Amino acid sequence: MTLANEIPTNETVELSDVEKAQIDTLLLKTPYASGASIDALKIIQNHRGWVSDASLLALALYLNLPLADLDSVATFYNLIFRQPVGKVVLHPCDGISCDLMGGQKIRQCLNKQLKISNGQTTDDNQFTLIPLPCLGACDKAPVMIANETLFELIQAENLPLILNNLIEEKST
Amino acid sequence: MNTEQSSEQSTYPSKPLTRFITDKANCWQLKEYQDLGGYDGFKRALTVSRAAVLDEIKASNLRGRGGAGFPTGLKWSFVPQGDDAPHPKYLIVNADEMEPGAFKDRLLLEKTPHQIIEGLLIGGYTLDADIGYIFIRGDYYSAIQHIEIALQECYDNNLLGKDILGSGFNFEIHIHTSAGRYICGEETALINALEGKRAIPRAKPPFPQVAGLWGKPTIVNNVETFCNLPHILNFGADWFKSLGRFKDAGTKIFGVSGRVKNPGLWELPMGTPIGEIIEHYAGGMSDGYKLKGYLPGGGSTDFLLAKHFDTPMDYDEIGKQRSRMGTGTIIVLDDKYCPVAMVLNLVKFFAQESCGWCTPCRDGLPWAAVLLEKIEQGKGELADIKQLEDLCKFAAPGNTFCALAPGAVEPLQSALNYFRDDFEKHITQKSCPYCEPIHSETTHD
Amino acid sequence: MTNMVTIYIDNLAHQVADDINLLQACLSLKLDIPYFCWHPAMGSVGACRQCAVMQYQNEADTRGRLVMSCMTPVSEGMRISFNHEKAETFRATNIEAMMTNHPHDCPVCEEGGDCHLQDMTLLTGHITRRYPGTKRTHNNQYLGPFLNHEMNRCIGCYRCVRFYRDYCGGNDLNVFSSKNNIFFGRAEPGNLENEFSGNLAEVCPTGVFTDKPFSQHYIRKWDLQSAPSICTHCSVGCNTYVTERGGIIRKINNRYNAAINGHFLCDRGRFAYQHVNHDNKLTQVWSRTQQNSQQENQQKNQSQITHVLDNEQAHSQLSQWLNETDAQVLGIGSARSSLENNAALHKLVGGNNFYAGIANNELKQLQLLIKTYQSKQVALVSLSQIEQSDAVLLVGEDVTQTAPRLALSIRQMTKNAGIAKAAKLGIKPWQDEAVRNISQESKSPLIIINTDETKLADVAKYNLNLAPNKQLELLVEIEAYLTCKYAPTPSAETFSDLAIAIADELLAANNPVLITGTHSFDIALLSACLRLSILLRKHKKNSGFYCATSSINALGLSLLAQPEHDIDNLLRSIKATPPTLLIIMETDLYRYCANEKLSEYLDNIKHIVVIEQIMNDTVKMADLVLPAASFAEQHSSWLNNEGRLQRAYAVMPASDMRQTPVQWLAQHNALDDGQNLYRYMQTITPLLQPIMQLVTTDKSDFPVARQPMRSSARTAFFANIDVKEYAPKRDEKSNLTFTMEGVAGFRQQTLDNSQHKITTPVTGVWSPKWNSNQALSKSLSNTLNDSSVQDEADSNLGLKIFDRINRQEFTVPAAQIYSPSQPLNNLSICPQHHIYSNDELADYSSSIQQLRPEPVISLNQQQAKHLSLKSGENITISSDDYNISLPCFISKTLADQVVLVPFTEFLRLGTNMHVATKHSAGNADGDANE
Ligand SMILES: Cc1cc2nc3c(=O)[nH]c(=O)nc-3n(C[C@H](O)[C@H](O)[C@H](O)COP(=O)(O)O)c2cc1C
Ligand code: SF4
Ligand code: FES
Repeated sequence: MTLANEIPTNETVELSDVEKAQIDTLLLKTPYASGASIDALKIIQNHRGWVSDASLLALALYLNLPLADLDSVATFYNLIFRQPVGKVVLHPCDGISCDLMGGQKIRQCLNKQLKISNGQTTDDNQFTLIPLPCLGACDKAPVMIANETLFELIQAENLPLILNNLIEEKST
Repeated sequence: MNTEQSSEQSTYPSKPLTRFITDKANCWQLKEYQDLGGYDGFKRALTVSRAAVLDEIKASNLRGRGGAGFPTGLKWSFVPQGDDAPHPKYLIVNADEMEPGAFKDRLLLEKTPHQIIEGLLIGGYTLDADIGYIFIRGDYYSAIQHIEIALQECYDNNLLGKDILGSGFNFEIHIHTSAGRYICGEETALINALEGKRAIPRAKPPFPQVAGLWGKPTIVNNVETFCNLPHILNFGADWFKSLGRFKDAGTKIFGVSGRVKNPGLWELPMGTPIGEIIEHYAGGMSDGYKLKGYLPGGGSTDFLLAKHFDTPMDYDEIGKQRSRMGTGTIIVLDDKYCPVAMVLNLVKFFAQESCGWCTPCRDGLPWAAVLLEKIEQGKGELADIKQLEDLCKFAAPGNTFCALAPGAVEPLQSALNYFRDDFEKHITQKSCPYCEPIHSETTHD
Repeated sequence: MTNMVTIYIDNLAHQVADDINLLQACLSLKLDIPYFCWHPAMGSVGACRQCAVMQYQNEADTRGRLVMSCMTPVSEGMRISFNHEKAETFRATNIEAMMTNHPHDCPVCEEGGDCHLQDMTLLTGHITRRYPGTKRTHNNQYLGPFLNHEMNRCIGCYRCVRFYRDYCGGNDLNVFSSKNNIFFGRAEPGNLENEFSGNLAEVCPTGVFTDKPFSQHYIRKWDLQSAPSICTHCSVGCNTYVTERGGIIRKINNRYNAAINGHFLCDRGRFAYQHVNHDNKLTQVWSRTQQNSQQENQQKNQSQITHVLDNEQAHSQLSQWLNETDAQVLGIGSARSSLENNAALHKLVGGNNFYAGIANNELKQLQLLIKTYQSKQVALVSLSQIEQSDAVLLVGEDVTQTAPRLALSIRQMTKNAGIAKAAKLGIKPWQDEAVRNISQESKSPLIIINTDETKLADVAKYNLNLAPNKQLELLVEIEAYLTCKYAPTPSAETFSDLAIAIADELLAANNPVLITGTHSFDIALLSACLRLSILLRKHKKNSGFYCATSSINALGLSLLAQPEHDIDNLLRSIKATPPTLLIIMETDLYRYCANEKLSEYLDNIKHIVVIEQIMNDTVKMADLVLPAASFAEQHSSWLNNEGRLQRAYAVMPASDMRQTPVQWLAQHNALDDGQNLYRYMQTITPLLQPIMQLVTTDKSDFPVARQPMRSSARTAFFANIDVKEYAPKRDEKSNLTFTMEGVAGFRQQTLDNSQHKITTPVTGVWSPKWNSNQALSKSLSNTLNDSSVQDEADSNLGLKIFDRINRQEFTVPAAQIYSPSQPLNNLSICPQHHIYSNDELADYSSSIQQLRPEPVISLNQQQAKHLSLKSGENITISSDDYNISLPCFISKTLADQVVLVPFTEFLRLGTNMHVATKHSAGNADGDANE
């Protein structure tokens, strides 16, 4: 359901009607607009893949909140992306339970296969690699989240297949 | 409703928290839940006074399952009651589980959303609260999905909304999916996050019970804490107390991760000895691995050793061994994994997750991480160990604004105690004595 | 209520007030407790952890526990240890941790020597660096003309955002990211928008935010001379330290005055000083004479030659003109010149011939104020009293633009409801974060009645944007309602809900304050405010009144001037019978009058003498120009809008031929002795009697140094000019020296609480080991409400003249409800004020110039439609002698039937103005020529 990811530009953007409608329902639940800001940022990100400066400004205007306040919040939370990300964001776990079970090797394989280091996006914009700490599936370590799916007991050999399926899933 | 069928479970279950988790794929849905006696506890609560419910909870000796073990009934008793109490009052389920090695809440969130909602309803009724929040980690996708459906089921069946089950009691529940950051689990930081602010912990006093979300009385409890309430209401405080094998009451979801034969989660009586959990339930160490030590309650607790196996998993008993119950999820360190690397992983995590508010945490933890990395890479000096010890004292409880930094140095300080020769070997050998060298990884924001 | 309690610090008993936190208590006891995040005005948040001490339960407790002293209330019998090894180690490690990312760039840092971080680092004993890692780095931002940004120096104390956002209500500065990567700045580079941003240079304990104009002519703190002064850029009269070296003003620092500015100045006050350093400042006597008799009849400007005169020539010229047989001499006094200067001119020309350099309606307002103040029917409150009040009705004045520091105080007032709410839960006012969490949106009521929304709108309960006549109606209605409420009349009047609501807000408060100003130039509105305030005080004993006036000495000037002796009447008089000599003192008439008409009048005057600091259009019309000393070059007295007399001292000798007007005129008015001058002032008005008390502090027995003790360049001041060292200049008029010899003026303030009563001026703050401005914390009095405890007679706070007189009967006339000035469109033309374009001298400051808004004429949507104007199209406004044509700005918030004109243009338009047309000037002329 993610739209084509927004490309960074200097242009101003408008929130879509769907985004506005979703934000409006949030606003009903909170006594002050600021209470909706994190959820609203997530809505923007759901639709655009990330939160650009332009969409941040559009949201600030829509919520009638100072831009600096919204950006202060947006930059605090690590799952709000303030930089463009690839089609699929890979979150291999770098928590200690996964590392005890060879998580680090999995991450290194990902680095090698995708030829990017952590936090980067592949040249073809397919993958962004953002390790996250403990994903709460320590008994199935090592694990990874991508496309809202949890992959358990990952083995390095299976990574190419997993990556392939992820891209296909995203393309359909 | 067929109460007959559920009689087996409802007559004094020994594993109340997981009794609704069956093999059925949709065991988490309303019908299945109610078929097994779900919402009976809430209904019972509605038949007695608010004060009576609170008394029952106090009598049960239930202690918070979020890590600190604070008595739940006592916490609730600070909420202003009566006609001139401020409204709305809020109840919040802390489902932000992000502690390294903790994975117990996810089970409950995915498999028993109604149990949590029922707990919230009981709390809502008891405290005359108006709005509940489920603050859930954003990565728990299927749990989020289940909760959303469960909430809708409740609204559709008059278990939420206005005049619930004709009792005159009104209650709403919203779900907030977090945008990341471990600190959101700290209850006052969580409140700030719900207000759409940076998740910085708040100064106490005032305690949230008096002035929390939007300045109104607020209770924050762990998922598992809430899950206990229906059963306490259903089966009584005495039954609940009788569940524990040692001093603490009830059962707890314990877990084990690391190189054990059978990593997983089990609902066991409080007070179950650590050794029994690791050896019996987790099946002992995987073949070819030996136990070097373990963190008994997740990533922010002090290491214990095999010699502590007899210690009951009871808040005060583990405290006596100078560690903590924490989340009750044990992380086992085997003999092939470098303890320095393990501590480095943890300290880096906590440094990364510092909210940036107070100095010992914001600047002290990265400093410790730099030293550990230096040692792990074989570039350490003996003086670095002294510095690490200084930094542990620096971030001791009370020295920081919240409990993140003190928790962060617990594995470190105990590792320096129990595995000191490992640190020294790194330094004298100028390399890591464990096989795989740990390369420094680029960090992410 | 403040009680004194006994606390034990390292086993020694001390008495401290129980309403402050332990940190503040210890600092007031002169203990060197380091801190960063605490600030006396902003309270505690416990973030930096630097102020840790050990606390013990009781005498038996030997273990103790570490507490943050800033977060700990003091209580009777409490036992703490500052020296305990555990606390010492913790504090040392803490600062070491902070410094892990600090760049150690002190040699190139503007904060060097004036740096709280330097002081605290040394104080805690962190000398050697152990941290082996790399430092995080940040990019800096452009933040506008006032501040530099060097984020790498940040130690994360959060004081900047707490000040900017929580204290000032700014929303364009914030903290971004998290962990040790936190970044304090704007979302995007750009001008900081808040009017108090300059304080960040003082609030930041290190060199992240530093004073940008200062760095353009940077000098180390220990090489700066400094003297106590008064800000001359609005009527509030904030206290400042002016710093100088080599005849150049380097920087303005806040000077703590508990009753007025407290710890903070506005940006106009901080950065306007650049006029003193301006290239066009006047330094010589210029004289212009007619070329020759043959060209006698030709136009002046074609036949003049200008030459420089020496002192003697200047005086003989002046004397000659003064003593011409048919001499008819008029003088114009200045609202931005000192009381002394105005009195000297007053003496020279005589009261009948002394005109105040302000417009007629302003003088009327001011004299109405004075009469009312003398009648003592309103209670004049200070800014600190406003901050402690619990409701404010603010009428007809955009104080953020006209008296910025006042706006900051009003903003603090709104927090009191939250503070009271917190107090009910046992939370002390200084527990800043806790108070904010409890108070959330609860605010003490601020009711704003104005033509347009102001920058206080975000904290106001009511923002009522009304045309002036509607404002007046509302006030009169509130007055009637109050009258009725306390003396019900049989004829049941009805009142609007709004009037009732506002009145009830005021009556619900304990000490409501009515605040207004003279910048509306609306005498009826002012009368209505005064009457309402008088009435309110009958029912609410503790209610107060505050009126912002146009300039620092506007009230003082109008004490000296006779009624109707204003610019408008002066021009009328000149037009009828031109004087032979007009002496214009520090007033640029071209700012106040239609230019062409003015030139025409001035051309008819035989001799014009202008005493002025800087080249302006009026100076260009002079026959004799006498260069005047700036505020920084003279000892002077100022009367602010509360009637508070304050003293300012020269920081440097006047440059070149500059002299104060007092000095220029001394030979001619027989007032060459200072005492005589002050005696003369009192003959004009007894209200000025307290000035004697004020000026006696000028002469005490011992000299006070303007330079700090550590001055490194005592003998090298002129090294770049000459190998020999010149003798320091002497200051004949005060006991301040232009050297570092004398009592360390910097240290005086630290003696404040002891038995020594300070009667000498303090030239700066300093305390042993504390070289930054935070040394002040060591000398603040040790209770929460500083000003209420400080002796009001303490001349450090200034002397309030209206408190010292007997009550005089006066009845404020009832306000006449009028209809708007132009019946055709029912339009009121009102002045639009702006902090960076309102003040004459501030106009010459280059950093302020950069922030001056483009002049526009504002009106609202309906009005624009009515006049078929589109945004940006030109609109012309005309009066009898003047018309202006500017692009229009269509405001969403402006009241209907109001047109806002830039302030200076408003002044030039005079009284009889109207909207001519939206079209070209040609058309407008047709309209305007009657
Ligand atoms: C850094 C930090 C993270 C925390 N994370 C969680 C968490 O993820 N889940 C949780 O229930 N409690 C967490 N806590 C504990 C909460 O602050 C709080 O004590 C708990 O939610 C109270 O619930 P309980 O009384 O039911 O245990 C955390 C505490 C700290 C200091
Ligand atoms: S210890 Fe301090 S910096 Fe760390 S998370 Fe808690 S409040 Fe934030
Ligand atoms: S001054 Fe006390 S914690 Fe910062």
